[in-house]
Amino acid sequence: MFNPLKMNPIEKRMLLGGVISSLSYYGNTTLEYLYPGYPVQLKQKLEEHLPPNGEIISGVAPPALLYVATKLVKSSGTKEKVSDLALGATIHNIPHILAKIGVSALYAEGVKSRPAARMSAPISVTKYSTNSFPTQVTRPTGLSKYVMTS
Amino acid sequence: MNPVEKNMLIGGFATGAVDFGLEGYYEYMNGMGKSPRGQFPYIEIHPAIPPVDDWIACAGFPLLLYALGKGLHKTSLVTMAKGASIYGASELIGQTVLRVALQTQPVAAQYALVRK
Repeated sequence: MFNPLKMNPIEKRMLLGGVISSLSYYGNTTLEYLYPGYPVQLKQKLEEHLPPNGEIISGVAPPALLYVATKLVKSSGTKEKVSDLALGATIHNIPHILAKIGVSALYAEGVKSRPAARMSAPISVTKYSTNSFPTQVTRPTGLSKYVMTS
Repeated sequence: MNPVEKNMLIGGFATGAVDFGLEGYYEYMNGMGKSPRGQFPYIEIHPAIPPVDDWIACAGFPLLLYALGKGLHKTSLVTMAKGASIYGASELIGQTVLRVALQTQPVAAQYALVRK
């Protein structure tokens, strides 16, 4: 079998758990960028220093679900396999979500320390943006629910 | 948790800390309106591939830990490197999937997103 890194089965399962966790997080981010019907509640933040709710949920869900699955599975062999997946997901997820919270807090602090003259031009250049992907946030125009904006 | 699992988790946290350091500086400067995009290490080789800072944190750091562990004959460092590489490999795979997905979409299907 193709195994250039000489990983044992436990390490393979842990890596798979990490990849599941990562795909869950970035799958959510992809939907957030590309799906117009993405729920507004998941874009909101509980607090300005925290990442959006969707990112927190999609990050925490895989290890939590895998740990619940570990408790529910009866067979000891399967329990061990699911436990390895859960540990791999935890190794990726816990440091990752903490890093994201810290990064989000730093962004909020950066916005606070922005000179007042620049506040009127909110421009967000994310690392994921490309030339073909517009990230300049423009003020919405037209009739909103309450006021006419221009 | 047994000592091996603890060391792997420590490796994951250490890689996360390096990732946070590089990413945090970028976002702080971005928040101030002075995005360091294009400056080292925030250089994109290709839009579908994660930038250099992610490769440093997610591939360079685990390799450094592994080399240190092998050089100093410290099994604990090698185990930490394995945890670091689980974090790093997962992160790079996820980011590449996101970037490729964004690249394959036509511009008309992409929606400007007010994230911050």
